[in-house]
Amino acid sequence: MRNATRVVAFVAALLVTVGLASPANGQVSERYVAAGDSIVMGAGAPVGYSWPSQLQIRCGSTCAVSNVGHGASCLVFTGCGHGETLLSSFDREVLVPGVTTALVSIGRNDLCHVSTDELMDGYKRLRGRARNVGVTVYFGTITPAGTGWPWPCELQRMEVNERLRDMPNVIDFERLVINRHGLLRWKYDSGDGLHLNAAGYSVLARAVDWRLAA
Amino acid sequence: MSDDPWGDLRELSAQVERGEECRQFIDSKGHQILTALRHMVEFWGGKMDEAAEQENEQLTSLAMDQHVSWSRTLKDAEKVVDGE
Repeated sequence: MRNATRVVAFVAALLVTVGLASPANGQVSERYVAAGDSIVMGAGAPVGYSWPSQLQIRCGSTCAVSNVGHGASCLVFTGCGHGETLLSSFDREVLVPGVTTALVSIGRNDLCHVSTDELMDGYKRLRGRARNVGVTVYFGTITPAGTGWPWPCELQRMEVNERLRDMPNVIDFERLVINRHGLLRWKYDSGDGLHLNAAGYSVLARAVDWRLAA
Repeated sequence: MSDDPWGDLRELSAQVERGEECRQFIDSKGHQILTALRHMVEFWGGKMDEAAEQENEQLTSLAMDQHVSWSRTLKDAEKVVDGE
């Protein structure tokens, strides 16, 4: 019975995530929008196993989670594959009427292309714009990975994360999935050394859920 | 240098993380894995120096952690390759 309930919840969450259904409006008390790059989109895991999808499953009908993650997207660097930066799309995609909380995980694709100060300024601008319309923003630190040799911008990633940790409402994704060599833990690695698998995204979803409930 | 030094290091790191005996993997890679590990040690040593020159204690500490971690792994791997 418990398994059947979980399956129904999973299918419902999947339909919500892909936009084919909405949680019952009367029961929803929180509306979250998850925004960012391929880590938000759920690259590396099967459809329905991104961390926003798994967050939806965890909170059931009490919340509605929308996923506006885009692969190869950047916060401030305008040369990313997605084209539009989150800074330019934030008001339109995230700060929509009814949203209570924005969950933002982005920055990896900006590394090497913009300075740490520019990135931090970008995060602060998102927070300020959200605050102006009464939306709370949570940021996730940038998860560890390296797909290039010789790992060009790892120190910048660490620096960005350290500065993020000094900001309010930050969920430390990195700490959850890093190993002693500073790499993505093998059990959370989708296989490409960059994206997480379903188990990895589950860990992120749980951390977000706990933080939002705190 | 191996065709995929990064992949070799990831695999080695994963084996260390799992607490596995890495001897077979290191033996199969021989001096290639040592070269890759030395590269990582040098890389983080360089980053440590850069951060120290900038008097950035936080980054120096982060880079030092990585330098120490890779140095330990290199030392262990050297013992295997040297047949100790």
